[in-house]
Amino acid sequence: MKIMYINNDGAGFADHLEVAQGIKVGVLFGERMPYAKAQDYLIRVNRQEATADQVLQEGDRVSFTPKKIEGALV
Amino acid sequence: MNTSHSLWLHTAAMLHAQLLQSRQAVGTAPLPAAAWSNVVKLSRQVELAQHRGWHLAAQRQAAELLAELESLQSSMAKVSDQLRERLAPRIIASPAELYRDLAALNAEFEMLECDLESQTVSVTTGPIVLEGIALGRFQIRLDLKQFPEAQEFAVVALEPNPASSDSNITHPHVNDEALCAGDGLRAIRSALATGRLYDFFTIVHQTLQTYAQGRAYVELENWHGVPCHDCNSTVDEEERYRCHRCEEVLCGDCASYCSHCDETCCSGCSVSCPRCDRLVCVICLQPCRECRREVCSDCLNQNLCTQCQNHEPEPDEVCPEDQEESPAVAAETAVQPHRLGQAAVLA
Repeated sequence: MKIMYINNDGAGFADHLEVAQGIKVGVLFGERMPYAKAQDYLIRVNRQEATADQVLQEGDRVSFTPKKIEGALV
Repeated sequence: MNTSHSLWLHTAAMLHAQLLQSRQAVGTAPLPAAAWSNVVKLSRQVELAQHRGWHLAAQRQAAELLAELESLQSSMAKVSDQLRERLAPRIIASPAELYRDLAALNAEFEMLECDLESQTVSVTTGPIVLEGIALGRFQIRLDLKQFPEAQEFAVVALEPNPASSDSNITHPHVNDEALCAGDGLRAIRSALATGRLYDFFTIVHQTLQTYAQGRAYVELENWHGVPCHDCNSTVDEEERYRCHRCEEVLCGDCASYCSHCDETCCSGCSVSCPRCDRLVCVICLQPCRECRREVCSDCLNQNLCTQCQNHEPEPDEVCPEDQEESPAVAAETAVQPHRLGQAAVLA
């Protein structure tokens, strides 16, 4: 099934993604962000807070945004 | 449908139209025409120099030509990158997505304001506290006039608690309402380029909630001022002095001035000259070649301090041998001995 996958880490990424039917949010995070910890990210499905066990539906908008984003001096 | 929803619909429609227009306008970045003209000119100069047998001049011009060609290559690469980015397919937010973003922002933040007249969309954050310092709430205001090409937004402190050294710095990473986004910059640009308003405001909000030590306009440890190196009182930026030797911060009361070089110095980097008693920084002291005492340059002549020049012994260094000779002895020694230059003749 197709979902909208958004990763706001680094340069940012936003595109449609083909995923397995019935995939859970936690599993998707593990696949797309293998070296990251879920607690370090705001994980939203359709702009709402989501749990790791939430099952994704066709057309869902999934976003991962780092909680800590460091600003700079200049 | 209530007023808010109607306003969100209009805002979403306006934004979508702008995004569509931006995607359709490819445009090009300006080509480096001046650099190319320079290359052509240098190339002709090399040929002319060669033709006239001015080999040294030809070599010099060829070196300049090479540098110019490399610079031109770099400029052309930048133009290519920009055009490639503009031609890349972009998924822009639909009016429905933009509307849902606005609705979600309204639920997530304290306040959402869409002002079609001033063409801005703003959200108000909750109170921001970093390392125990309450910075108050902020309004993140996105300017839509030239959206999405111009990605202008302001971060306005609603209950300012600025750094004591500069009232424009209301947050460690905000100066004069401009956020230095640092690590979040590319994600912000990507979000705005495709109209993902919810992501944009979320990224900025997370940046405001993060303190990057060592990368702040004013570090939080200095938020309420910097301590004076000598007396430890808090010093604001306007009243701050700095020792020119150790660069420590000083208050107005503790800052001294070297009587020789007139620079500011702290108590640790200044002493009283042992000869004239004036305050001098340690850099302006030089040793006397006789007594080895470090004195100021005004008290030094031909590397001798004033005391040694006058052959005056130090008060604690007087010896019997150094006492004045009797007048008779002094007179005798002042005259040259007899038979100077003669040698004794042995029988």
